[in-house]
Amino acid sequence: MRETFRLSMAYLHTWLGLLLGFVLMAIFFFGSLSVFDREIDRWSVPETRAQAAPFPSFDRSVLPIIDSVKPDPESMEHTAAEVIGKLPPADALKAGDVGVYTNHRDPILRMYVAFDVPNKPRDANLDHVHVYGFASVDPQTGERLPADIQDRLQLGTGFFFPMHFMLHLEWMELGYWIVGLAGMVMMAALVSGVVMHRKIFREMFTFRPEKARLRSILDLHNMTGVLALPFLFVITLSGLLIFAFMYLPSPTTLMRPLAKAQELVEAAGTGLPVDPSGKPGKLASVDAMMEAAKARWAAKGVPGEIGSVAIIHYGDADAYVSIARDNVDRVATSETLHFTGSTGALAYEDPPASGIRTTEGFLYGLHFQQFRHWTLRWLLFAGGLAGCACIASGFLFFVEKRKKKHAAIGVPGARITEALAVASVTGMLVATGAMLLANRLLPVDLPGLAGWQEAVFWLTWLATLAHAGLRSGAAASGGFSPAWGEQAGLVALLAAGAALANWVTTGDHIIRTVAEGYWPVAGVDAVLLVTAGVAGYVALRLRSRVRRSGQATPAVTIKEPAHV
Amino acid sequence: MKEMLAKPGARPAMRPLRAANRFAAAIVGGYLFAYGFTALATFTGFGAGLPFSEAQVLAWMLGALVYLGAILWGFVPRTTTKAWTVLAGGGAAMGVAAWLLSRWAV
Repeated sequence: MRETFRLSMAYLHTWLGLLLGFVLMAIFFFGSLSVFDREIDRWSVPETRAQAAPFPSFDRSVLPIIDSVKPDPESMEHTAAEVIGKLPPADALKAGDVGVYTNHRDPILRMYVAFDVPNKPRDANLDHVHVYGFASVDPQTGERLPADIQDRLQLGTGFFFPMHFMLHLEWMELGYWIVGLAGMVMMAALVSGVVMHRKIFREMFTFRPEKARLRSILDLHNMTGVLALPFLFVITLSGLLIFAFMYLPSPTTLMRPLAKAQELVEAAGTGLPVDPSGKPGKLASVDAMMEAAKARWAAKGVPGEIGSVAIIHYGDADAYVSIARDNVDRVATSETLHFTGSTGALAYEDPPASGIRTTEGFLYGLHFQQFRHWTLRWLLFAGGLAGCACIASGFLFFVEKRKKKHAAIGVPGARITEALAVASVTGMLVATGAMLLANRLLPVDLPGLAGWQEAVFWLTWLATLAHAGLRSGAAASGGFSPAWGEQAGLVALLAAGAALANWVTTGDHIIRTVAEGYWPVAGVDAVLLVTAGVAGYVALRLRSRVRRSGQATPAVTIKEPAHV
Repeated sequence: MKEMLAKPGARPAMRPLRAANRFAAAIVGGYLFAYGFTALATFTGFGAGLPFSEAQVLAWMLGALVYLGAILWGFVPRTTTKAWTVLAGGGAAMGVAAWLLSRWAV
């Protein structure tokens, strides 16, 4: 298309990167926060600030409450739209499968009940249509969490994490598809970025902060992109693989008869019943099955706390129980043990993983990060932020490079791009800070508390875009938008304010939480305070720069191959 | 647009409609290519003796990389028509092949 392969790659890098960069910024930032989702959950719901505890007795704490779990109204609504005909009333639905899980970072035992629905799905390719109901148990006491605490919005798992993979755009699953496309573009940008720079190895170690602004922005872009390249590539690929069943369903859509037949063959190989018998049956002691599983793990010499227990065909004579361990000791996901529900005997153990399964398990595990290794966890957090820095410096380079030219010929491209970049970098931080602050300041008995917090997030974000647009006048004359510094200042205030509000509303200030060794809350507060410090410093630096920019900065020309 | 992108050493910028067509060829055409590829690769792996579900996992991993290659390649041919033809046509051919082979194999 362009004269050379390298020029084509540069064109693609610039324009696809710009188009999807705004989305990628959010994916990487909220992905980084999701590395500490359980910790943010504790911070945002103080009633659950307890130490993580092992899986409690299933027979005493979980079984008795299964029948009292009701279908979730939102899930009813979602499923109603997916099936033909009217759903039976919620009370008439029967539980099909039950799943219960926790991990070494979670002081809550989370539970879902999948209710069978008699309706046929609208889309024949949807095999399993269910309505879900949810409950939580305090593993320390074995008691069910009160409804008002269970339904409280846990900002980590309940908001930032879904933001990371579907942007809270549920309509037609649009959010998942946008994130998927952005992921592909991220990989394309990484490869094309390498192609367009020949001196890639030297650039890995080149950062010249004192050089002209444009040069050091590009250095930062190259340095973060190249140093973190393996991480960025693998984390993006593994994220895409998690949703591959949705993005690339062609093995089952195009080859449906073969896929269905082989599904039955593979299930038959395990000996586990695919369908319920239809006859009611009694369940043997699940605690005994958990003990048997632990004994098996102990014999293998691997750490053996229970991670998840699932009852398939609950209440049926053909029920079976699948137990997986909390795989604290490795990245990859664990094999599962399956027990016959009526007898409690071990029915099937997943065979040792093949090469393909091992690779899959590693990539899944790397993305879901259930391991217990805090250095690695912080490294992954830093890697995600390096991705953010790479994307943000890409915006800056695009804008700074074109600003003067656009100003001279009266084209608004750089001005609009800069406003969008401000909103997607500092604006996103402002919105997140505002949400954390609202989480601590809104009264817990406020009706629709979760909705209010979400409204604060979205409206604040929108306001930062409006602010960036209004303050973009400087760019129209080739200058630097003051909105960067102003919003950085706001980030500093909100982050410090959130840590302060946590102290005032819960008494858990950082000195206390550090002294007590309660790291989930201490960690969130520490990150907030560091953010406040860095953002405050940036705000001051930028303010002095905007003041100075009355005197025009000299035009910079740099020799850079092929940024078309 | 022309002025925005003009730069010594580079060709004059493409008009917006032509640029959009090129992006669509790379992204939509590339998707069709990956879609067909994933089905055919699953069938091939299954035919080579892998369990179907494992062949599918392998095809997904390869399919993501093939899609990546298709997006990059979509920007290379001199004409956008060629990009569309190879990507969408190749995807359709692989898809139809997978469809036929899987029915023959059941």
